[in-house]
Amino acid sequence: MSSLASLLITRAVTPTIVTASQSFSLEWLLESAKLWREEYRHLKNKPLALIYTNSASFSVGLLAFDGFCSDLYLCSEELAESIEPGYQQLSITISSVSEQHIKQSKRATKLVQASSNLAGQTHTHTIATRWWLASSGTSGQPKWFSHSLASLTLSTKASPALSALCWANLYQVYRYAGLQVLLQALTSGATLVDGSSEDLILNVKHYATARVSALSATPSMWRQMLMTNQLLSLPLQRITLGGETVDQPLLDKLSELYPNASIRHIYASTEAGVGFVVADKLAGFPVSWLEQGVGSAQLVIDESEHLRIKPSHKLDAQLEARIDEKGYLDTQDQVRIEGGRVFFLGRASGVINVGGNKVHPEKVESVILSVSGVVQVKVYGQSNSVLGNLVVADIVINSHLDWSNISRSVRERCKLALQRFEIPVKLRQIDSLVVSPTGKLSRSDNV
Amino acid sequence: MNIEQIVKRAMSDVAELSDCQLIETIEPDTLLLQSGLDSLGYAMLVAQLEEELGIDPFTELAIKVYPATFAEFVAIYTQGLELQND
Repeated sequence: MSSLASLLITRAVTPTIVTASQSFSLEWLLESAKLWREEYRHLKNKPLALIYTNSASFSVGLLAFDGFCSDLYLCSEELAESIEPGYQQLSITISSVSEQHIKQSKRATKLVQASSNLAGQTHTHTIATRWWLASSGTSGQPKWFSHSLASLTLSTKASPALSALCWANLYQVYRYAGLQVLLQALTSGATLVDGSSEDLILNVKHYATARVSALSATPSMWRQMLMTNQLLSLPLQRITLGGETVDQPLLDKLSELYPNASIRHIYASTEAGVGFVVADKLAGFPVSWLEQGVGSAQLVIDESEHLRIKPSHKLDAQLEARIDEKGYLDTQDQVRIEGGRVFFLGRASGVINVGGNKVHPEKVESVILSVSGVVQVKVYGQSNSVLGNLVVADIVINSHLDWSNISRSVRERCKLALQRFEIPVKLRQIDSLVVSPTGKLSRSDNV
Repeated sequence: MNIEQIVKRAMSDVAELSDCQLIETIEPDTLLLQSGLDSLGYAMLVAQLEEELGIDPFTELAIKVYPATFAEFVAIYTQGLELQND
């Protein structure tokens, strides 16, 4: 049984995490992890909610408590509120100058010694920690899915070329995509540039100074980075796109700018804990994968044109209702075969992907329905070339009421109750909505 | 109204709807990402201009250079409308 710490030691990799002013070596991260684990030794075999502060601190937490705690819930401050109140919550922040001194005072030769100490400890104490990652649920409440270190690191590799990369992470590290970047950087012995701000221009400048050569972001973020006109200042060798459907014009633009870079788009399902990589610079994936499978996963398209996946690892028990008798999980992703490729069309459930943020139409509909005078509402995605999709609402109101008053109230209510990306950008007044015999709104006839 | 004026008006409409604060004067060389609109604002702007002008140059053109400034943004729409009229 392997923990993250022992995996890094076995692979003999030496990742580094750098911030604007500091650099944290693996040796330092492991030493620091050891101290945290000693201080919190009562957490052995107990669940822990680890709250993200920055990548270096988060890595220390993962190294300290994977293989030690029974469960690790990867959280933001906000997500931590949805965790069982009895669970220990821990927010690690390491950034002090004194710690930098510790790092500098160690010599590389000590690494082996420190590592073997830790390896010895992990060997005797390691348990199989469940890693829990949140996915947004229909009601807007987070849903937690468990993973194992083995499944999360299945696609990671180590090689001299990979260890020479310098990664930056534009994703939230406590989410599936962001964690993948962190684990890829750590387990391949690469460098990871810590910290990103809300300001994309500042981020790109920061990444240029740090000579970032590998970057993972959503297609929407890549389009925004193209708009900074500074993307070429990054010496990119590896470009990764994920979290949204990738279109051909964007792949073409990136490969024109970086003809020698490896450009890969990733399809991943947080729930299934599985992902596959398409590296041929074409949108969709080859239809032959439906026959051969990809990596260790098998793929099929069912009669509803949903993509089904059968990973090699065991799926979370909560997903049972969506797993068929052959062990395939319904991903709820609608696909279409065209010209030897399988293309993604969107979510069968109606979930709208706005620049990588998932919007549940039912949640927005319930907010709009709470406005007096609104009789019926249907929320759906309208395709958009900047963010993939935008949220739109069709509304039926009481015929004797004034649309302008009601639409104003709807906007105000949405502003109060919803996040910005969830608020419909367009409200359309319509006469009636089609309702199925079961009384449900039809989600399949979206515009 | 010329295209520049249409884009400016649409920007202020969108800023109000999306709760963004536009900077006071938008010059031709103002960087789009520093105009006050965020990514959601831009997405809404492109959607609104598609309704008004009937084109979305970001999907319809093979864009040579992604617009970084206001002038480049307007130029892409001008070019898109010219192509449409050809």
